[in-house]
Amino acid sequence: MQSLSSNRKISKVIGFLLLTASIFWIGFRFGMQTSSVGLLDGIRGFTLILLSILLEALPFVLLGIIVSSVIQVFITEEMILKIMPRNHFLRLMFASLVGLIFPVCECAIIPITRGLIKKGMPIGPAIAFMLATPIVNPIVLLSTYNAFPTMPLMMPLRAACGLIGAVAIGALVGRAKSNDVLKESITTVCSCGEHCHNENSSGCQSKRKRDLFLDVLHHTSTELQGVGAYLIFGAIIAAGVQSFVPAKFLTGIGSGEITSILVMMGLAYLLSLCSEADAFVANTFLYQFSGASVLAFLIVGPMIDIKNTFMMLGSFKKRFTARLIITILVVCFALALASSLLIGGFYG
Amino acid sequence: MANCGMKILWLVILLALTVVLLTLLLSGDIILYLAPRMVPMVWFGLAVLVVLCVYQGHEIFRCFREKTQTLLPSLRLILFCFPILMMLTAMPDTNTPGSMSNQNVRLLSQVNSGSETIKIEEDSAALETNKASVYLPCILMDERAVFDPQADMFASYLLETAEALQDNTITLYGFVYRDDSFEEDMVLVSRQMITCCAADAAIVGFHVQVNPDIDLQLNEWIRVTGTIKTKNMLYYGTPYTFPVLTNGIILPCNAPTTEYLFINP
Repeated sequence: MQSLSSNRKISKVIGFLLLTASIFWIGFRFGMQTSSVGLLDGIRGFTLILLSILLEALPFVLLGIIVSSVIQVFITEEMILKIMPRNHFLRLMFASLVGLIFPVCECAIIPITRGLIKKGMPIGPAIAFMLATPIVNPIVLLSTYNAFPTMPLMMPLRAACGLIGAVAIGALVGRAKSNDVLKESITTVCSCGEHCHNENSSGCQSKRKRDLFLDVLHHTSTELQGVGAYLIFGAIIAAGVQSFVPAKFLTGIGSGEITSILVMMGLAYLLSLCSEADAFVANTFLYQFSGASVLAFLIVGPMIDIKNTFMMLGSFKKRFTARLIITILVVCFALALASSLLIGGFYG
Repeated sequence: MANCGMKILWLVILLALTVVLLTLLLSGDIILYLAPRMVPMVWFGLAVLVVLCVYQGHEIFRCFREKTQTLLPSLRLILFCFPILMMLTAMPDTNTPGSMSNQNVRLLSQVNSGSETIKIEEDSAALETNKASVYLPCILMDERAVFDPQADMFASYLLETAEALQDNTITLYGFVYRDDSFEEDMVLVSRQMITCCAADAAIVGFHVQVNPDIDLQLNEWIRVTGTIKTKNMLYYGTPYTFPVLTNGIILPCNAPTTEYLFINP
């Protein structure tokens, strides 16, 4: 068993190195030849983008992990179920609107969601919370409004589609059980010497405050190892794609309404931009793409991208992650297409 | 001892991350990567890392004392070394080229309402008339300019409308950019605009009419003084009206210390 596990680890390392080398080869073969930037400058540019993604994401990931750890230690399942409405649809709506008072970016949201699910939050509202909060929050909505001065309706449209999408996706994937969703967590011993952080525990409330504080630190440190590794891996892929895969390959494809929506969804996934900044980048695509496809960019990006995919793989099971990604893409495509058909005139 | 070894490795990684963040923050090089408004969050991240380092030291002490069993996946810790390794081998600096082939381009500014580029109905006669109009190109001189932060009005001009700038003589600092969709006698004097971090950088700029024969290198920093005229041009097959700097002078220029423009700073 140990040699099998070691072989799997070695396979993963080899796979990662091959993937990285492939990205570099694709970039240098196709991408660098189209620009005047030399090899060393290209690598510097890759490093610049990689480190900027990590430096921006790390504080928010730490914040999310701390919140998740606090939830693990101090919050009980009873507390969570008490504040949520009983009606299933209202639960989804409530979870989707939490971002208005608790704005969290997509880097921090995954560890928090994992912590909530571990503490007994139903899957549907947890996923709706995870998908809606990076979109339906005051900071992102204000950025969107500022980025589209000639389309003031883009902001409410983004909020509405984000909300509807999150509720729909939460309802579609919400029937899964937490055992089918969460990855097996590493068994750890907390500072009180007992295994006390299972899904139904009360969080060792009889412990001293010092021990509870140490528990939070312990969870934070352990989760950082897991989440942080996937964040770095996702950032490497995202930076490589941004640096070396020519976007013009994709942007040259999108001509019709459907293909342009698909192209913009693909770009949103590949660029891995934070939801505060993506509106300004999306604005630059208005020269080449329809408003509906730009809307698709704005709702897919905060929900799922390369970086988030790997962070989800670190927290959720592969089958559930794949099912979630497919559901997100289908729902967002449908919403963008519907907006094009229903209010196509708005986009000009 | 092997289990305590993994804890020591994690402490080393945490310390390396802490030192990297502290160095970037104290030297001011953090601005190469992030918008100024994100810097307080980096300080928060640094504080958390310091606390985690202290905690990890405590865990190592407890590990040696109690020989507690902990499973730590070593493969993940190797990944943490990658960004640190990249920094040591290919550290970006202020001379890292601004215009990477994949960056998005925004012509003039659409941040402020009313300053958007104007899409005109396709009128081949109007386009032909514009081509025939006399817009004198800007001349490239041999002298060298020094970037003057006090005189840098790029951000202010971005917020103006094309109509407000018409016939005004303005001076802009920026790097040279052009792509295949530009007319032969057009380049962009441009800057990189950042919202949160370098990964979301978009190129913003103003057209400059130049003689196609002059030697301007991509990413070369210039100072250009010219008169704004509006001109109808095709961009990706669609006609727009753009403000263009004409009848002025271009000087090669030293690059500034901070090359980015920050919106919502």
